Amino acid sequence: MKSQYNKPINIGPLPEPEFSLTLSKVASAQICQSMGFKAAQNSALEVLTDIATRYLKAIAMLAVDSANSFGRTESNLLDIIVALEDLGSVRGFRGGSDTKVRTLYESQVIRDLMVFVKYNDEIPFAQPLPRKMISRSIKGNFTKYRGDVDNNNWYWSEEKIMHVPRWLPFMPVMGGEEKVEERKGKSNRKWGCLDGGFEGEGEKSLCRGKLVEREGSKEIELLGYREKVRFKLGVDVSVGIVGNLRGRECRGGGIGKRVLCNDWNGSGDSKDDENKRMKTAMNKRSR
Amino acid sequence: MNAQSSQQQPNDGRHDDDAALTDFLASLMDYTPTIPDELVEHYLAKSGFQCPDVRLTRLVAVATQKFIADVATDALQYCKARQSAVVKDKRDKQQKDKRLILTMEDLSKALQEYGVNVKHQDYFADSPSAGLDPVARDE
Repeated sequence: MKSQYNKPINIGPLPEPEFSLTLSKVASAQICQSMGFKAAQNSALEVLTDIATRYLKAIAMLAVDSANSFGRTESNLLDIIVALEDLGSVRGFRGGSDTKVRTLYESQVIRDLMVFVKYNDEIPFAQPLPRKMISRSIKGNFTKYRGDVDNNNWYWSEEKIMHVPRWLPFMPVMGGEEKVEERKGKSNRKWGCLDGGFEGEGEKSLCRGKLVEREGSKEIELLGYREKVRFKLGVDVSVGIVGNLRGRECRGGGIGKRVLCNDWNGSGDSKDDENKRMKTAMNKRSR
Repeated sequence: MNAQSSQQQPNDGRHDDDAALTDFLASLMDYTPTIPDELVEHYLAKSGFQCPDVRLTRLVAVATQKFIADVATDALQYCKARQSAVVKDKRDKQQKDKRLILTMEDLSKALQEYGVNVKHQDYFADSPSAGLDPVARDE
């Protein structure tokens, strides 16, 4: 199994850290060029890039820290000024040693920035960048281009929710008839069925909702009580293993969590069910 | 913080500073930093920074750009100083050296002022005279 992950991926875009590092490298090279350098050693440029990214991250982390210490989650201008003063204290700045009370607004750090912006020509980045548009979909298609760049809707609805792990299904879409239908189709699919087998007609869908007609647009109204989400271990072909594990606890996937393996179709007529599965498996093999 | 404590006793200077700062932030909307917004947002998000304001993202970008520009300027000065220190011995070689190239040597000197200690590999010689100092070279 491990060798699967160790395989180098030679198709598609660069892995993310490398990509962002390359971009920062171009940016720092541009800055060096604007300062009067004609060329640069590769190693020196790499060091400079590394320091640029570290500096950026340090500003962000200090700003986050200062925001959190005041009980806020969003940082503001003052946090950034505090962070810049912290980072500038290595070299020192005018007024940094003042003991009298002064406002952060009149900090020398920010004034230096004003002067910098005023007297330096702006050098835009060499190439316009697309917004982050590559994302992994659940089904295992490695990269999938979702929507067009101009449509900011998906950006806010999915990519911006950083705390939700990517492997979870999408949030229910409210409104829009087409999307509702699509979601219904997806919900009929079992998780863990890698070969994408659809459930029978009598099957209960995982995220059931009432379709409500409201002023011409269909919407899903989520029920107050929802069923538990259950996972099924094993692939469809290995019917025997799944059958043996049914109704018992088993250790799953090396994560160390206990997963309850339940029968998907209820406890009744399990024999018929097994027969059905065997038949489908045989059919698939014969294909 | 300092800002809050001085809000109780406002003076005229503070209003000027406020106005200047507001203008500066507004001017950042039109200013395009060399480090693109997308890249800055990526790194900010990675560090847990949350702020919907584009101006603050630009401010961080400008601050980073200024830092790199300062380092580069210092390195440039070191480079120029090193080149002028070379005794005018070999004309053709000097012409070749006259190009301003960002090297590890100058960069590590410049970074030392900013509290970054870079050790480059001394034994990695890309030219036969790389390890020799200028005094030894002209003898």
